[in-house]
Amino acid sequence: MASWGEASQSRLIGKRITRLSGKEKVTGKAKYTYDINRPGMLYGRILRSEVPHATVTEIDLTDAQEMPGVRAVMPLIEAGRKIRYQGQEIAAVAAETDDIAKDALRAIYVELEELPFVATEADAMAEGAPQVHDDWNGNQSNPSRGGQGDVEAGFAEAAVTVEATYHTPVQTHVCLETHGHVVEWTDEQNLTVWASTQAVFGVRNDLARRLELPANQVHVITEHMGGGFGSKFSPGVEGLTAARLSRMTERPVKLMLTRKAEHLVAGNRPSMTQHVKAGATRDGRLIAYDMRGHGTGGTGGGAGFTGPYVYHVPNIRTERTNVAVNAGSQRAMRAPGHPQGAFAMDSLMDELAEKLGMNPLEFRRLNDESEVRQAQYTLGAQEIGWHRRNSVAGSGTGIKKRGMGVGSGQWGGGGGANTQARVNINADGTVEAITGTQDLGTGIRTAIAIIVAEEFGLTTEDIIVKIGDSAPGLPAGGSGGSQTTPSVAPVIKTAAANAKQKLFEHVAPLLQAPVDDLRIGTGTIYVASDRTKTVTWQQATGLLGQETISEGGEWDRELRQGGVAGTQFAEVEVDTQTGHVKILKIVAVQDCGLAINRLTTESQINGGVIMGIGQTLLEERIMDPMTGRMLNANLEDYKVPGTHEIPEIKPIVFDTHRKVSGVGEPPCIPTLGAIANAVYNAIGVRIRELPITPDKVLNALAEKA
Amino acid sequence: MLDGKTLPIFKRPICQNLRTKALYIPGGNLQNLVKENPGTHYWCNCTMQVVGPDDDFVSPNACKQSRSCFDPIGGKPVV
Repeated sequence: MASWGEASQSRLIGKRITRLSGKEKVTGKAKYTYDINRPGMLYGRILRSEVPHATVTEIDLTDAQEMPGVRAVMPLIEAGRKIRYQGQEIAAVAAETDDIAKDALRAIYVELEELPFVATEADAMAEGAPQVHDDWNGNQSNPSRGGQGDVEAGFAEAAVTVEATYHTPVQTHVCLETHGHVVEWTDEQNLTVWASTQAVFGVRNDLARRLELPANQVHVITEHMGGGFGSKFSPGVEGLTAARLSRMTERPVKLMLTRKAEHLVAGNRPSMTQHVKAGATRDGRLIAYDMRGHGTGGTGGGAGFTGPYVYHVPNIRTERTNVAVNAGSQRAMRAPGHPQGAFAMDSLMDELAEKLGMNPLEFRRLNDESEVRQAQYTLGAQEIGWHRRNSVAGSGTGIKKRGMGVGSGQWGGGGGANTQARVNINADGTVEAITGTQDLGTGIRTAIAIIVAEEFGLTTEDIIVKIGDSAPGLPAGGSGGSQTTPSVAPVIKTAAANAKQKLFEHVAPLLQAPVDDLRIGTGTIYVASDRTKTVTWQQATGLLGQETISEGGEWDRELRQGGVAGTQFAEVEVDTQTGHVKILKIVAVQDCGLAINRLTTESQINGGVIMGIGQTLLEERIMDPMTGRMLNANLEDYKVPGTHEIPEIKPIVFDTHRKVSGVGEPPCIPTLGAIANAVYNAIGVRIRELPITPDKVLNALAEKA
Repeated sequence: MLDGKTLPIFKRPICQNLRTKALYIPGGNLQNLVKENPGTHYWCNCTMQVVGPDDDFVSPNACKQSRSCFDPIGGKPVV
């Protein structure tokens, strides 16, 4: 049976290895799509609607087409069609400079017949509201219902109940590198695309189909990319438009979204509103859970969220609906549905615990069937100093009050088949690992190098990792669902093992030993039964002559495992005069399976926590109900965590087994509940609506007073 | 092109332009387009938006053969 071996035998796997691309990134040498400039390149721009709902009655491109420096103008919507949200695409231009392209957008004449719209969920659900979908009732999809057990019987058993409404707003992805492509036709039938994407082969296949090209004639390159978080799987309107502008002009075209467009059209995490009633028995067992909830994914649907979450409840009734509004559509965003649901559930757990007079951590222990999380509760509580928590919420003295909270999460991340990879050993001793995956910044490039270097007794710098490129024809799946490492790592591992075996076959005659008696040392190959028989790596590969060993691998499911648990503890300080919440420390205990690279795994955890902090304290898409426009489609008014907001984060890589799991998403889940509960523990007032901004804190304190 | 009316694994034809995230990631496949998941996002590869070329919304339930833009996986049925 394949295995990653014992931890004590690992030279590199599980250690803290600096990421291979780190130096390139911090020195600016790394080329992102945004940095790609091709000879003769034109600049693409898209004209977008500033109104949220309208019928297009006329588009006249003439003036723009006649402007000096403009090389192509194309409509992206026909007269008679509907605009459904601010930011929707109307027309596109390609020009010699970006400034000319911007000027050309202003020269496009568009006539719209504005229509009534709904910008907020409250407006959308109001009686007589304008309808986004003709076949929805009151802008709400048909309810999705679920449940188990007997909820009424459960409540009859309950000693305490809590009824509350929890809300999280729409959050945008805020990829630091906006969506975009640089596109170049090398001839009429061959397209090269530099794409900021999570799915090199997804973009290749989608563009090929849309442009009616054979898939192998679309070459997609993603050497480095600046964040996707679930929003960058397809080429999008901007990618297809860039390809068409390039075809029209026979020139390369760069088309990157503006920051404003990134907020408006490039996806978002849907909102969530949960009305929950839950009950627990006197001995602290969750017994009944009844939830009605809704959220908005903009014009489309898909506003999913979890509930109940993580903790065991025997009697459940749930009802969820999507609410349509005239705003840009949602896309998958880091652990879709989980952070919202975890915030609601962990807040609810604390509210029930308080009614029972129980420590919320003990209440969780009683209702959490995960053995992993039970151990994590102990470890995390020790690390944060849980004993220092206020036994009575808000009982601290002084203007600045401190509190602690806990939250939990669960994720899959077990990977899947269909990654193809090759590991090559050349006669000069060089080693290449090639696959079509892409590095979103998570560190898969380094993880691949670690696996191969471990197998061959080399260093990570000895391994040439070729990823983010469709040209070698080795497809790999998109990076989503925390699936990349558990999908790629087993294939690389088996490919390297196969290549090693081939090399051993060349070396065995020289060492006069059977192949199965050969072992890898540090830069050497030796005979296990006679350690005096040794060759260096270079001597061994020199035996290949003109031959190159090139081996593929298999996705061995024994090398990976899904299902990761996590828990986080937060300590906060709330200024009761300003309402400002300062996070002092987050302890994030994250089940990771086998962490190929402990350093980048910790980075994953840090990143998830930071994103969770943003969702808890700062981020919210604010829609103007009067105009239907987003009021904070920038990075000045749409706040994401900066150095002032990021506290001490203690990532604890919680080793559970020697199989690879994905951790891209899970660390952002427990943060929300942990912070919200810590705020309550500090000030004794529950804030059930995110983000927890100073105005909400002050209002809550005023109401309490 | 298939000579049957539908792919054997599906109870009804699926439009090859319908997209959802699960299609792109390891472990996902076309089965993710068979049953509508109200908690996920769908889009059209023709428009790259949540509406199809006919300006109606897309989803497994909405993308039916009766739509003018419907383009089944495996090609149009052979009569």
